[in-house]
Amino acid sequence: MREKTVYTLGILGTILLLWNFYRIFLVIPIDALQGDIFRIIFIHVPAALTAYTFYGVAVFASIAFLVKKDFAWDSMAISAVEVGTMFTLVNIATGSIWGRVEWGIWWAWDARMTSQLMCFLLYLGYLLMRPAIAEPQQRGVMSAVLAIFAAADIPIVIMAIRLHNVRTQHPGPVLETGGLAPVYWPPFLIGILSFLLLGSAMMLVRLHQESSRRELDSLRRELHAIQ
Amino acid sequence: MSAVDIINLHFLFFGYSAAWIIMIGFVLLLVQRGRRIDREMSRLKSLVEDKEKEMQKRPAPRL
Repeated sequence: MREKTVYTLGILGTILLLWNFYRIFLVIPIDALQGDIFRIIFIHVPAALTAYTFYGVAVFASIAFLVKKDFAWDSMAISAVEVGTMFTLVNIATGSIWGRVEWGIWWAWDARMTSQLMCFLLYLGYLLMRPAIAEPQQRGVMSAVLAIFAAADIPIVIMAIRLHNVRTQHPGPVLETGGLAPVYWPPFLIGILSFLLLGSAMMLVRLHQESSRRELDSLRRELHAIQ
Repeated sequence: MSAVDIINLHFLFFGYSAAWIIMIGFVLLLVQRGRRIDREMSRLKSLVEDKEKEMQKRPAPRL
């Protein structure tokens, strides 16, 4: 059942992504000002929104773990954070490449980019911290607290281009202000959907690995007790 | 097609390639980790079974 779900989500996500690429490269018109590099938005923004969705799942699972002390929630949190961090890296890499063409530099230390980099580093810290704590209960609690704490950066990333007193080089918000032409909406939304489907498949695989890892720990304890 | 358009296309290619490389790299990492866990699982299971068989073969202590 689990394998079927993973394959279904993965195949559906890949088909949607490939169909979307066909539309992005061969159907939709190029942007008059930016030219072809504009097409990077259909991977750059969906990657960020998908990452935030998975970070949201991680926060929910972390709170549930702190309340119920059930390790299934801890597994869900680590799985979601790992997938979210991967999509954040996609977002940062594609944004940097877009910036090289539009601004002539790979990186600008403006509010949006710096806060997004901080978000990536905080969750990378979460992933690096976990193996360093041997005691499972302590590891779960520390990880949950860090996952919730790191999520506080996400509103800062979102608000970085909306606040008037913050200097930023990043383009202003176009989604909710009607700045995106109607012809660009379908590939944009399909991009988000395909990333969400692929991310969910990856998260399910990771979730299974975490439960196997817990089983490994109990086998090790059993072996130790026999000896 | 102008030189600027060609540069644009090159960087667009780099952008999409980077995204694919990161995603495929992550999937490969998951596959590798899964295999390592499966190997360790079967090794530990056979070790536990061996130890249990060994325990059963041992004579019961005399009272």
